[in-house]
Amino acid sequence: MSKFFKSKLFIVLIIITVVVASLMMISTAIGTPNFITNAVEFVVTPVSRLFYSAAGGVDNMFTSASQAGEYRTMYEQAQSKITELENQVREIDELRAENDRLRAILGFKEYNNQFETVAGQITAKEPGNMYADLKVNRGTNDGISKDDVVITDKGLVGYVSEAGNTWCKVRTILDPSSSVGCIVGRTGDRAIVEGSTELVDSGKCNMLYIAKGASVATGDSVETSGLGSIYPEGILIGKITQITPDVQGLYNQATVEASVDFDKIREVLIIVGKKQ
Amino acid sequence: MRHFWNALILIFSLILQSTVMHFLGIMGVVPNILLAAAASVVLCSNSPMQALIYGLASGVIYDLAWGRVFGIHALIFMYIAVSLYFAADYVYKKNITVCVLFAFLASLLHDIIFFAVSFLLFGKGNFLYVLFRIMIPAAAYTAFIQIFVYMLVKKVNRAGERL
Repeated sequence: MSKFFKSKLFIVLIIITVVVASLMMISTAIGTPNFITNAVEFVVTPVSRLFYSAAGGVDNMFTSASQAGEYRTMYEQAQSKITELENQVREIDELRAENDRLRAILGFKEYNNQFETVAGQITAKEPGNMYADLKVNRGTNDGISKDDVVITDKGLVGYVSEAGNTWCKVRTILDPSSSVGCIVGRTGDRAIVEGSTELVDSGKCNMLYIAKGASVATGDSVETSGLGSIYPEGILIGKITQITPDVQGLYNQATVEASVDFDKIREVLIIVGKKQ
Repeated sequence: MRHFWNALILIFSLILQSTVMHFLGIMGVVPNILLAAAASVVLCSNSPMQALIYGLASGVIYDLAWGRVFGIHALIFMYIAVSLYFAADYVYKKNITVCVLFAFLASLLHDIIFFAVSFLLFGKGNFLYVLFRIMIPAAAYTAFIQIFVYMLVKKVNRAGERL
């Protein structure tokens, strides 16, 4: 053992550890130089995109084949649902017109929920089982910048944590470092949705700081509250699947199933601004 | 020439890890093919210095592509690589079971160190739940993948194999 501590290898190990540790501190302070990651991504992104699309295609094929019977039942159910929904849409149109009229009468400032978005494709997912970053093939060249919000037609995905020329890294809401201010649609109770190491593989998040008196229930929809500097209000996060009352603590906790299926996600929309 | 192929295998593993492997997950658990490839290359290397460089290189490419703080994976991979090299010195059997066991331990060690770093950064996480629900299944899956990865790496490194 004492031979090892006097060996050249041990000295090299120490030198590399010191150098890398210094680089770690520098990169924590100023971030990894963009030109290096840009150069790596320039080569890796097209290949990753190809592999991700191909693997997704094969996965879809197997899923479709194994679920043919289920799809037939779903199709029949969908047909009857369409008729029901068409009636509802007509009703909603009438209500919307009435709502606009009443808002105008009351003098409310119109809240325009139409965002300027850029569509992007997922090219890669973070390796490992405890984190959940995504890479998208859109970057600063497409008008993307750090902290832009990323969504799909189903709901909230996360925000841009890093942006290169032709790529960006998305920190998803499932990630343990993610934290989103939220509001329960039905009751108006506010809380915080946080990612968790234990839930990241099941597409769920923790909902913390629910006031003891809040009347939230399983199945309630959770949206962004607009508090904080990143997420605008009103974007669907998911549904409450479980409530864990904390007998001794000040707040209750809940588990929220994200409305976006992170296993099947292929395309996203990045909000780059509000429509004028 | 074999260094070139080893480097290519490591880069290819990283690309597979962040694309195809996510679709091969079982109950949400994805194997770590980059670690399996790095362990295989290390076990086929001729000197501890080579093992160190391969480990460091694997960690650096991971950090460049995905690292939140540059260097964490570089250090973890480097130390795992050197430990594996010396552990292999105590094993004289030319046996695939030994390689699979090494991949299992490497994956477990990597995840435990990473969980510790994550816990220090965010102060949350249930270790026992993550150990039994994620780390051990992922290590077992990685060990299984290792069988195929090691056979490929062994072919490339036939001249310089150690196990």
